[in-house]
Order: sequence, then C-alpha cells, then structure tokens
Amino acid sequence: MAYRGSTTWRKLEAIRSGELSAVENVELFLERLRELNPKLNAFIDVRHEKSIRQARSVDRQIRAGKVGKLSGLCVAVKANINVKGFTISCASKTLSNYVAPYDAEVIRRIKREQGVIIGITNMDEFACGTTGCRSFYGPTLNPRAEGRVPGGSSSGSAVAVAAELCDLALGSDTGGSIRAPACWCGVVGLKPTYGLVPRQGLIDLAMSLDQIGPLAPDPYGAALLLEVIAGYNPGEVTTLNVLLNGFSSNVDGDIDGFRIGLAKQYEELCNPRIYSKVIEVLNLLERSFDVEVVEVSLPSIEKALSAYYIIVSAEFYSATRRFDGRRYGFKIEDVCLDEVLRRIVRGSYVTRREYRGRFYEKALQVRTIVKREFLRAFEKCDVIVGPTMPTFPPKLGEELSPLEEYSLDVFTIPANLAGICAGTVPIGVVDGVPVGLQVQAPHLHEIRVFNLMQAVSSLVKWVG
Amino acid sequence: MAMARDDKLKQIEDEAEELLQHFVRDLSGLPRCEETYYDSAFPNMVRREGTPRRRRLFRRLFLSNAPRVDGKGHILTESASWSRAG
Repeated sequence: MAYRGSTTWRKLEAIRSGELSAVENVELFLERLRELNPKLNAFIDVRHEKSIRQARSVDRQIRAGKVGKLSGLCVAVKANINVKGFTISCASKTLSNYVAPYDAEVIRRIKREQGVIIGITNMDEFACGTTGCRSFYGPTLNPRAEGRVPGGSSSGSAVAVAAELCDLALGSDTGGSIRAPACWCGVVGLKPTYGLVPRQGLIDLAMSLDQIGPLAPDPYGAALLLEVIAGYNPGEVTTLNVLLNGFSSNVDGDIDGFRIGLAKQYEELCNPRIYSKVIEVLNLLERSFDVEVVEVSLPSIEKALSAYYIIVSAEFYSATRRFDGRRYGFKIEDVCLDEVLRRIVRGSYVTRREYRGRFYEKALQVRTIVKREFLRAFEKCDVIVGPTMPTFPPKLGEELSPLEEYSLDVFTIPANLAGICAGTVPIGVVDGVPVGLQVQAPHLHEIRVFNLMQAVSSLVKWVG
Repeated sequence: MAMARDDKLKQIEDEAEELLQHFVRDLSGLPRCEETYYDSAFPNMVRREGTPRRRRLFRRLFLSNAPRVDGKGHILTESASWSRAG
C-alpha cells in the first residue's frame, strides 16, 4: 500500500477528484514563480502559455476518464534535458540560443502520463559544479539556508521543489548532482541504478556515469516520477531490459528485518555535527523498527574521488567536441566559464595516447575496486547509509579551490562509479541548514532506498 | 579581452596538470585489476527494426538553431574559423 499522507499523494488526489484542475495547479505555480523566481533564480526558461495549454489538454483527458500516473502534476526540468520548444542551454552561453527540436525519452514518458512541464531549471554550466553558482544565468539561491549555496549541479530543480514552485523535478546525477542540492535544500532526491532510466536526449557530462533522476518533496513523489521515467528503451544501448514492478505502489516505509550498513570511513571525512545527526537518526530507526545497524567498510571512497575526476574529464572532453559552433550554439572554449574550461583542458591531457595508462586506465581500475567493495559490503547488509554531504553548504560568494569543491562529492561519487542506486532524504536542520541521509542499495533495489527514506520521513518531522 | 582569456587559459592549463598529478599520486600503489568502462553488464546491442520515419518538422526546428542556412536548407559554416585552434 502506497504511503497516502504525502504532499504528492494529496495533490494527485485533489486533481483526480476534481477538487483542483490541472490548469489551476499550473496557474498557482506560475503565480508563485512570478513572485519568487526573480530572487531565487531557479528557473531560466518558463513559457506560461505552453504549460497552460498542456494542462488544459490533461484536464480534457481526465474529464474523458483517462487518468495518467502524473495527472496534471507540474514537473520542472533541468536545463540539460531536451524539452521541445524550450531553450536547453545547460546554463551555458554555448547553447544559450539552442531551442530543443525534440523531447528526450524521459520527457515523452512524463507527457504520456499527463505530467505538465512547468519550466526549465538553472544548473551549474554543463553540470560541472557542486555549488549551483557556476551558471551563465547567475547563481541559484537556497530558500532553506539563507546566504548559502543550494548545491549543484541540479540546483534549480532542488530549489524549485524546496520553494514549492513545482510538484516534482528532474535532475541528472553524474557524481552527486541530484543528491547534493537535494540534501542542502532539504528535499528528497534519487540517483537511479545506471541504465534504469533512458539517457536519450540528455546532454551528457560523462556518458558512463550520468543518470536522470527525480527530486520531490517526499519519497512517494520521487518513487512516482521514477516509475514514469524508468524502463527499457530499445533504441538505447545502455538501458537495462528488466521487469519493473512499480515503485510508488510499494513505498510503505516497511523496513522491518533490514540490516543497515554504516561505513566506518564516513566519520573521519564528515563534519562531526552532521555525523552526530546521522547517528541520532540511526538510533531512532533502531528503536522504532526491527532493524539492525552493522558496520561495513568502503576503504577506497577517497580514491574514488580522484578516479572520478579523471574519468569525467576524459568523457566530458569527448562529449563537448560537438559544441564547435558550426551547426548550433557557440564554440564552447570561446564562451564557457572557468570550471568547464578546466575540465576540457584536463580531458585533453587525459585522453592523449601517451598518458592513457597513467591516468584513464588507472581510474577505470579504481572503478572496478569500488564496485567490488560495495558488493562485499552488501553481503552484510541491505542498504548502506551515511551523510549525503560531508559539510554544510558554503556561503554564497565563498571562494573554494577546485580540489576543495571536488572533495564535497566524496560521499556521493562512489555510488556513480559502482553504478548502484542512491537517494537522499532530509533528517533535520543543524544551525539552520538542512542535513540529509544518503541511502545506497545494490543495483535495481531502488525500492529499498524508497522504503528506508519513507521510514525516516515518518520519524523525522521536517519543518521547511 | 583576448589577452585576459589567454592568461586565464594558461593558468587553467597549469592548474590542470597540477590537479592531474595530485590525482595520480592519490591512485598510486593500488593493485592492478581489470578496468570497468560501463556498469551495464548486459548492454542492449540490438535496435528495434522498423521503417525510417521522415520528420519534416524536426528538420525545420533543427535548422532554426543553425547560425546560417541557405534557401535550400543547407547549413553554411566557415571551415577556416572552425578549424582554428582546439
């Protein structure tokens, strides 16, 4: 039985029962967006008429008895996922004049299930960043931690959910780009198993690591959106052909019997106050459910950081060679911001034949090691939990060196390298800043992540 | 402006080498093992067969993004400018 108390569930019921129409829903968000977006800078392309037109069509379908899974819920989309008729700029001047001529596969699926696209969200340029401040359109602001960054790279999507400018949002996660902003903005976010969600139509950062995933106010909303976008795409070589049993209908927060792994390496790398909050929640779970917390070991999580940035540089360099300004946009090297240029330059070194063994091959070997460590750890437990982010979000305008910024991803990157699923759920506020719990599970065990997140949500009363 | 960009590029190139050296030092001493490229163990290598569909609207929308197009629907590019550096 799905969890029926959630914000998303109540909204769905209101639209399905006729208490609220899809048009009214979109108009409420557009009004709120007009008021708040000039300050928050979460959305960078909104087309009112287009969204209202889509909502009208949903209302007509519902009146005719055709009810989709999303039934008029408003979905915000990160600016690196193609939505026909919207400017999909990746928050870069490079693509600032590129209007998508087609819908990505995930967008086709959302529209088919009556989701209404409310607009395109801000992000770190080409998904290169952890703060949400590296955008051609300016930084996004964190509505739940004033004066601090929202996290990135799916900054606008997380802020849109946190500030109630949409029902649900799509982000992409290569090394934590959904989980970092979701954590620091106090919302739920999930990076699915690699291959579960089609990437066709995503403007990639690193093709062997990227996954599109949901952000939502609650685990049920994230499960619902994942259910809509997940599944085999015959035209795509990396999607998995697996049987899916529905995520949203199985989110009930039942975790009795779970063995919850906690990696001993987390404590040393984490701010002690954040770590204490995590331990507090684990104690609460042990008292409230029939669960057991066990110690596991992930010795290579720090090495994963270095390996990740080598792999990302190589793949990003390859992915950006098409942005030469000939057929659309501007030549990337001429107009991009520093971090993108840094990764392109690094990628050009890493991919040189003479350096291959030294950099890229070594990094790919570390990926194998990380994957094996997770497999060993999952022999002892059903899920592995820990802090999502090692520190509080930096203050707006605070200068971080590249290495300092990269090290913020230390807890999120391993899941991408191993290809497993991982989500984040808010567990409270420390010093006025939201703190998140990361929940990782083996390949294709998203339902364990959702249920643990649901159990946590039922215990921790979040006041946003 | 161009000068500032060149200086910035030089700084970024220096930083890039330094960072890569840091990463390599960090990864030294690990045991050799096989490499993992993609996580999908069973990639879908076969596309569904079917008759190609011509989407006229797509072509029009695609061309609307091009910097320059002639009257016959060809994209006009400056190969010399494109091939310069990078």
